[in-house]
Amino acid sequence: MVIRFWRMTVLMLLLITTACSSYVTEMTPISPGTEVVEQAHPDTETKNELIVWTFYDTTESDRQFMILHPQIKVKTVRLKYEEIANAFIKAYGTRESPDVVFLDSSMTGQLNGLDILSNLRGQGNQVNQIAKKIPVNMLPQYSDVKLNKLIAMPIALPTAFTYYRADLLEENGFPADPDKLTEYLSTPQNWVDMAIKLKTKGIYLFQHYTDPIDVAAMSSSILNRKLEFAWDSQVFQDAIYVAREIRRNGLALRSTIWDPSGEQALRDGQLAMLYGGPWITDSLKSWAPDQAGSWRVSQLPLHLYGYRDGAMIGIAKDSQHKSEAGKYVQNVVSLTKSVDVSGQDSYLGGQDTLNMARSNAQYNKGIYPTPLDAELKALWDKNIQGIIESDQPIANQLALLKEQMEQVTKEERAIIKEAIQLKD
Amino acid sequence: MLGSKLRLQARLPLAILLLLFSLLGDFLSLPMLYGMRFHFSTLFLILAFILIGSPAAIIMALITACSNYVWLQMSVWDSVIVFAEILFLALACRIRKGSVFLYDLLFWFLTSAILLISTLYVDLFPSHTQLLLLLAKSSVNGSSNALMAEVLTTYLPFIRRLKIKNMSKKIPLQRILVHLSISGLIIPFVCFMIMTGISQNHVINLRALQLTQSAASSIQEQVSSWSGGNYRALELRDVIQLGELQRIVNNAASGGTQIVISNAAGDVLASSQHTDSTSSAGSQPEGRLYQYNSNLYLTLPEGRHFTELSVWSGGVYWYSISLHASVDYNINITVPASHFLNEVYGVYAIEFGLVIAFILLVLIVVYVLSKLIVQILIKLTQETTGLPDKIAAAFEMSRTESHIVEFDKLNLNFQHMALRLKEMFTEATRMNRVLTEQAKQIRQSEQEFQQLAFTDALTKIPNRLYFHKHLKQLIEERSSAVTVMFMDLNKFKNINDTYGHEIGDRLLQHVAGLLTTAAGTGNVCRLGGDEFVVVLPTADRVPVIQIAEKILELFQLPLHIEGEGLTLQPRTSIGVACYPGDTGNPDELLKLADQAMYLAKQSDSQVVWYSKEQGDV
Repeated sequence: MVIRFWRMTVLMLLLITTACSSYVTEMTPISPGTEVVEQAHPDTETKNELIVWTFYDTTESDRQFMILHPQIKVKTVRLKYEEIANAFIKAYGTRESPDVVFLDSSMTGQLNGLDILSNLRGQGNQVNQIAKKIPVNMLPQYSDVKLNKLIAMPIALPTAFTYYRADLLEENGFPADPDKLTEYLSTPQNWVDMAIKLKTKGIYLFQHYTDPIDVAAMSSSILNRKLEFAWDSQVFQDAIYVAREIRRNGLALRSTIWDPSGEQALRDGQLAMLYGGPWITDSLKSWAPDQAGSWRVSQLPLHLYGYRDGAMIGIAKDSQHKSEAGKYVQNVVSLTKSVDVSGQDSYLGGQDTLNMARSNAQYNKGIYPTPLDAELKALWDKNIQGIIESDQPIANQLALLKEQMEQVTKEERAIIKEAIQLKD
Repeated sequence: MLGSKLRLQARLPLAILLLLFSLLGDFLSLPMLYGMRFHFSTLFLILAFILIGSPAAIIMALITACSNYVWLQMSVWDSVIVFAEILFLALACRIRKGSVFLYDLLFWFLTSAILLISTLYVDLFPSHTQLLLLLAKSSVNGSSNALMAEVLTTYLPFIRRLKIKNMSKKIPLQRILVHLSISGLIIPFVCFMIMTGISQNHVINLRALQLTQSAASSIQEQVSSWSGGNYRALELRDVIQLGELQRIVNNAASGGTQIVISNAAGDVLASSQHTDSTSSAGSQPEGRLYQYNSNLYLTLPEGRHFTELSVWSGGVYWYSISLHASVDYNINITVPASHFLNEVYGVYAIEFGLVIAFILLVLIVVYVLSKLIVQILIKLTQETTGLPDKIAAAFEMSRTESHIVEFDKLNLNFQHMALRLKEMFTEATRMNRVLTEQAKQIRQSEQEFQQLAFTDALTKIPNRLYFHKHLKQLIEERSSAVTVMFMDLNKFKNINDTYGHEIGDRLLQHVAGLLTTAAGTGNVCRLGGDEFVVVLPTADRVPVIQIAEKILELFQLPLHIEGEGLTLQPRTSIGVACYPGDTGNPDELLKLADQAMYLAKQSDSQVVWYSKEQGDV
């Protein structure tokens, strides 16, 4: 009886321990799940059609491309300049998204914080060779904000110049030679004096009194690489001084070349100076073909080097035809072509703007577009009017504005700084 | 070796049963804290060691170790240590017989020392806390199993009967004390640790859930205020929106949590860990997966580790939940299990360390206590050895204090008992002396009584009663032949009548003296009146005749009675009868001798030998 009791006890203990041992973590062991395999896009895979979005007429280049690559069908969609960037952002990730998109370098800040454009450095050797032609100082304008990827490629180098009527300046006793004019306009006061004197002859150097500030803006982005407000420099103080003088003395035409009245003034010889990229040459040729040989190109006033907006081209990251898109980009971009073709232009008195653009590029300071540019530019535009109209010291005004702008964008700048540091 | 083989054959079913239990290994274990289990494998192996013998136990341990490693995929430590423990016990017990429990404690002490020293040179463990916990837990586990095995085989009747090496059925007091005290310490402790371990597991799971859920809720709450544009910007990997998400993630990440926001494809949008990796950071951690609820999982690393604790140190809690209903992004929060376990491991290491310290303390106390008890018992034994002599020698009891109430009481009782015994012994001695004296007196009285009963009062020689008793004694015990010489005094009646009884009495005394002198070794008895017999233990005629002649010669001497001036000349006739020559009946012997004497008187012969014809001399 006793033995039976003990045997039963031992057996029970064994059963209890065995039962308890199955209790481990009050958790249920589960087998590894099957990975979700992403579905490919069969529709886009099957289509061999390159969709190109552009804001200007690319018919000629498309035609040339299709001659070179008859197997690739190009479908071009024309959008407005001011809409194309937003449209691309909206369409990205959908079936409407293009393979190739023409953009403007002024839109870089809007796009370089997003991960929607392919890195063109990975689009084959040919494209890489073209990319190497971009001056180093210009690369930030075509790169993502971390400067990791080349997200777009300029159609042509958009080096900014001073376009001027050499004949009018010479008639009024000012230097007509580009180098001498550059030297003369290196001081703000000379720039103002020239404008005052020419105004007496009904000739204007400025379309609007903010033109000097626009010229200064060609040489520097709002934020430098350290993401500090950069438009409080001496250059901007000089430019604002000039702007104040223009406003005070009424030295601006008050009409732009994009208006019919401004265009007419150009033809009438009332506008003797323009500031912008090389695309102005073609515009001048169309607006005032009879002024061929009268226009010259020199460095920007105040001894500045800079860029003006210019068309650029990129490939959508979600494009299913990246290889074809790369070929298209290669065909459109003229960086390599410019080396072999003479850039001498009789309209500009035989000046070679292509070579000038290339040689001037090395002196440019870096321009670093950021996603904050639009917001800061809006704030700048809102405040600069008051600064120009004010009699307060420009430096103080800009210091206050710098403080305000940096405060407003404090968090975002911190985020971007963090992103840049990650890259470093 | 042959004996072991025979034992194994005899206990084969038992060996198979114990091997099966030990092979179950991990199944027969109780869960404690994560990474720790209370194993019973060695209990069955030590039982086998005690019940069957060391060779069988070593083989079983080897099989169990291989099974643990290959089949159960247990850690290297848990596999190897089983074999090492049994091997050590076998070797230790071979060198010197002793308690399995104490040898097991010694094994763990040596193992701990070796491992602690080796960690100075080899980095086996992620932290010293884990090492100490492992050693402490393994020591308690192993020694508990050894203690259980020893207790079972010592006290359980049916297991005790299985013991082949039943060297002694008697259990030393020290061992009983050790079993009692250590069992009382270990068993509640192990039960407590198992219960708290299960409770701690639950608490740790809850803490992991709270920590991860709180972080996830914080992120969800912050992104819930985002507009559609913000989510679109996130889809487009807007650097500011990603930065904002990163800031939210960084703020939410705390306390060892790692947060990753990723999509189903594993692309990482934000991570609290600064890495550009987009591969596995967003997906589930690799390893064995356990589900706590629909969001919280626990993963343990695959592969074999040195210890079970190492596996759990690499464990990761993984919480996954959708960032927002409008986007296909998940919040993945991981927390290393070590974040919760390290703190608890530290507490457990202290608790296990304390219980080991207490075990050692109890062993020392038990050793001292048992020594004390044994000393007291030895002293009591010494004092009780030869107690009667000591009491007789008027010894004094020592009055030492043991500081133990029961022992002091026992000692006092014993003292009282000894004193009482001493008094009783003294009284007994006195009584004995009195009784001895009385017995002596009785013996003396008895001798006197006997002398009175068997001695003739007048002549001081044996009387008729003695004659009969002596004759019977001779015939029954010693002699094969007896001769009785019967005689009386001739004309004695005339002497009495003539000179008076006083003179007659003096003649009788004289004759008794003569007969006694003549009889030599023979016994002379007075039957009554003037009748005397001489009893000789022989039937040989020569000595009989010699004695008869001597008697007759001595009878020639007259008796001079001084003061009376009287001289008396005693005359006698002797009748002789022999046993068994003349009769086989002893009672008839005296009668035949009397008849012979009568014939002698008639024939005026001095000596007549009885014959059937009557008349031969």
